Amino acid sequence: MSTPDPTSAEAVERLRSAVSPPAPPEQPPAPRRWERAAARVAGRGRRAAAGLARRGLTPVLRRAEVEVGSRVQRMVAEALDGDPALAQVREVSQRGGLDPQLIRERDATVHSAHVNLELLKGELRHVQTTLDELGMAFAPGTGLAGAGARYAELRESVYALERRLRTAGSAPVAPSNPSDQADPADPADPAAAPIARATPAEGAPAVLSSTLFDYVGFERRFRGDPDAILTTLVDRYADLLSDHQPVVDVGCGRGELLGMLAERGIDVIGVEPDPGMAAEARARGIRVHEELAGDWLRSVPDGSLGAIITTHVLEHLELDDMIELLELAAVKLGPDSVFISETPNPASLIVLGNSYLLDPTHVRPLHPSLLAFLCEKAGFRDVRLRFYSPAEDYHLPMTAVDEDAPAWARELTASVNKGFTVLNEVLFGPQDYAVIARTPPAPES
Amino acid sequence: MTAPVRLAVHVGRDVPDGLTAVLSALPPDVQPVAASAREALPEGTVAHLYCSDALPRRPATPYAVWRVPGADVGDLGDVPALADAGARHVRPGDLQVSLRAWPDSARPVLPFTRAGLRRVRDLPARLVGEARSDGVSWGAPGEHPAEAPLDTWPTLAALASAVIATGEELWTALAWAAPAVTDAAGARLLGLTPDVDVLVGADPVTRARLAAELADDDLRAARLARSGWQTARSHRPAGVAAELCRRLGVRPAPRSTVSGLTAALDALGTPPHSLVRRRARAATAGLPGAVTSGWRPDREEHS
Amino acid sequence: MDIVVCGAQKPFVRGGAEQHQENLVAALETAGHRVDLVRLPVAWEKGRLFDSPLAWRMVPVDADLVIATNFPSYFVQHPNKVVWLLHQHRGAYDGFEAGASWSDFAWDDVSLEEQRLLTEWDVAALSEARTVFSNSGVVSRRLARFNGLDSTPLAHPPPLHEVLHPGEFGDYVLSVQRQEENKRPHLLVEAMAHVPSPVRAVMAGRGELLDQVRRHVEDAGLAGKVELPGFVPDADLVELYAGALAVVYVPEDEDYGYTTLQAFYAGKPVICAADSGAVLDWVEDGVTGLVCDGTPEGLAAAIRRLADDPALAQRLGAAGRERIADLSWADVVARLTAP
Repeated sequence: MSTPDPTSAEAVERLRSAVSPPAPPEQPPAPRRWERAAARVAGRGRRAAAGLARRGLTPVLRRAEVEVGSRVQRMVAEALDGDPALAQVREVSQRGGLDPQLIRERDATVHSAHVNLELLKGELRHVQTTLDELGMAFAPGTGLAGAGARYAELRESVYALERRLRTAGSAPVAPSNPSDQADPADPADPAAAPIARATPAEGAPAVLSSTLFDYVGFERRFRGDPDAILTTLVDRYADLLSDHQPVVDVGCGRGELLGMLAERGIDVIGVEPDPGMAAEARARGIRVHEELAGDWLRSVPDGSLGAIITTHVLEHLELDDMIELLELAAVKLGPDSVFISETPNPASLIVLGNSYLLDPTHVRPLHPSLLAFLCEKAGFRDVRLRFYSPAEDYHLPMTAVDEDAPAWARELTASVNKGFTVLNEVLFGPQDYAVIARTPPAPES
Repeated sequence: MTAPVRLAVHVGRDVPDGLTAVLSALPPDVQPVAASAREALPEGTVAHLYCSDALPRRPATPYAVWRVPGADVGDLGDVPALADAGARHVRPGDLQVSLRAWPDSARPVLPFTRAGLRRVRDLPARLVGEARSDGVSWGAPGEHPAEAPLDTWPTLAALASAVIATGEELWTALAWAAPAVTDAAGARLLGLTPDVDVLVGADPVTRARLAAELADDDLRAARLARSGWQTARSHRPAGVAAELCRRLGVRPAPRSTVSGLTAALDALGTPPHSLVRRRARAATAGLPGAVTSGWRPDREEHS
Repeated sequence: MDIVVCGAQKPFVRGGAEQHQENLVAALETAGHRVDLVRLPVAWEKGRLFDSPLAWRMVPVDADLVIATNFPSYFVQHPNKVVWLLHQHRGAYDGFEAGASWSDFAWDDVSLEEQRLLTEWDVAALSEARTVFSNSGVVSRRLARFNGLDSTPLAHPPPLHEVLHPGEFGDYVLSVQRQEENKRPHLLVEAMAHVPSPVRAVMAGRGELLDQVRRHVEDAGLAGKVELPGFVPDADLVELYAGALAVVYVPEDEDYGYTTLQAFYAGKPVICAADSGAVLDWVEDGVTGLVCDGTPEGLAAAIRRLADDPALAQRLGAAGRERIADLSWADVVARLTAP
């Protein structure tokens, strides 16, 4: 209350006397000297600490903290002379304590260094995520690690194209996919050429090589809880699909997935060659085309579809049929549309050894990298792989030892754990994977 | 000791300035931790703060969003939103963060006490002060105003019945809880609600009239002064941090160490040298720890 | 719910606030809550003004709901705090403004800084509350004018409301109050000199001025016209209300005052003064009572008017009874405990 401040008589006198001559730039009533100094030091300390934290120099930060602390302590000792509570503060001081205000200043310094560190971590993670995504876009399945090889591969393709251009003269550019040795293109429709040229699939999805096998009964017994499977599919893809309509389910079966998507107001179309299943799907009120996927896809206008999803279908197809389906999909989807295919992951050995071999209609294990490769070749631009549900129930357990266990025990545990981790990955890795491929965006007009 | 609760912070490309300040001002037992969608959350995470450019389709709940320029997330409903005060993308109801320094030694003086101080200092019973870029002017409404240099503004901010100001001077006035009149831009820049926190006049004549009316209306002046002061204070990082915790349902542990007398006195806004602080210190002189917020000098770590 | 009611108390003094807190506890218990009353002493003078608020700040209160009543009990910290404000620190605010002799605040820097700080503390503590109710319009107006805070007046039934009843309109006016300075007991004594027989005045209640007022009556030769029985048991008080012509209540800037409401429960008009504070929330001139100018002559004129026109007294009394028909503790409890 005795501190001179803006409400004091002196301050008011200044206001009154300053009527005409411009007064000397006198400071507005100031806080006590040590307060200003403390604030300045603490502020500087805070900034310094934040800077140091950025460089991760913990020991230096500690030293700075102590320094700020002791300087502030000296100031307190000076400033508190004459305070009635001096004795107590001094007593606390001698035991290593400080005025609470200054303890808080110091704590704030440490605290804001922590906060800065955390935020830097956050920024770093964001960069990491961006890089990972970039890698996945470059090299599905392997991420950044495989980007180099992938890049070399692309360069090789470009050279190959160049060579062929030179040798072919003015001939139309041939698509660089494995089926380009097939029938010649229909010259009347150059846009549809690569696809029309492909051998019409004999029975696109879900072709059975046996006429005796009861697939429906098999599925019922071994595929697992249909409700749980469906919910998982909806959780994984519904948001993405709703951004790209209409959605086509190739091999839609009884239309369970489409039914759930339709409930969310998504425009859906089913393709299912089996009359019994198609009828059940129609009973759900879904538009179903009862024909082979290849036939139906050929019949729709180019660029007219929003999204195509197939679940547990591609692994039932012969290679050429699969390639044709992928190429058709790339053409019939509009710009920046998505193609999703979820299948079992044969790279996880428990899947290969169990469910893959269990189903006799599986043509061959479809490795994620192969599928990603085929998608790229089919003309998709942005191809990503997602892996789901590791077989954690089977995971070999990690061992833990106390910090104070003997060194050999800790080393042993570490190497066992490392081995287990590798085994878990190879044997019991993700059971399903999906390829999510996008068509190129529309050219800027 | 209770484990600290954690606030997971998801940042995108840039870290807004105000974010650092708000996180630094969180209560001591609420720890901010960096988080991302790709890894497990740290133990004890109870809430999330997303920068709008890192907001996923399905954020973990409960969460708050910091509006970052260029990443418009629209109306968030009940989700608390934060933004830098006065930014273009601020929406009504956002918690606004101002990094303006709170003026040294400013204390709220509500109209009733202002009147008393004017009487004691022999100033006019009704006094309007105005800040301009080159100085201040003051006087009873309707009379020819006197001029003074700009550095006397805190005195007017503390004692006038009503003030007219914008920018930094308005901020100072609010810190002193002056009933204030400004222009639309001045109110927007400081995140103030017209007619609740400040009166807004489009031109100098209107502003002078509003200030004169305010000087005559005790009730309105008191409401405006209290509200303007509280709103400005709530924009300081500490105020935003506290409100954020409240809205997210993050409660510091009830037996928080920050329960000492000093913390209680600080929270009430007690000036450093007031009598009651001395009395509190004297009363607890025999009880170490009471003044130091429970902090014990024999403890090594106290972060 | 577990509810803690908080109140301040000056040791060895019992008055309206203490009684009020106990009535609130009883009403909350009737509604099925578990209730405890927490009290801390308070000192009103400047030097020790902030001690009790600070003490309240540090009191650990574990409950589902905390209801704070008077200064400084609302400084208690609780996430679910409701304030039902009976009064603030009157010496720093309205008492100081009115230049009251009992306020130790003066026109100096120290007083003004204490007042300023108290205002800031009050704003901080009251802003934490989920809802701020006040006891009366007067208290709400003070809170708005001094602290810029809004509050909702919430009235409650007075003591004895369940037994008070209307009766004949007799030949005496009744005053029920502590005989203290701010109740202005001398005003009625002086007025009675101007009121012709047979109208009498009965002034029930003790207080520090009782002897002085008794001497005043004797000196003025009004012994037959003004009775000062001192303490009156509740049962007798109810009958005194029932048989009165009107109730005279002319305090200076009263916060609440049960007398007005008790009179209405007994169906009697109330004569008050234009500066009687919260009494004016209830007494509307010519509707539920008469508002006089606060002079002995003015008061006497009002009494004479009712004595000469008993039908008017009956009409005003009935309107008063109408006015309090909706008051109930159940309603008060419902509003204080509303989520």
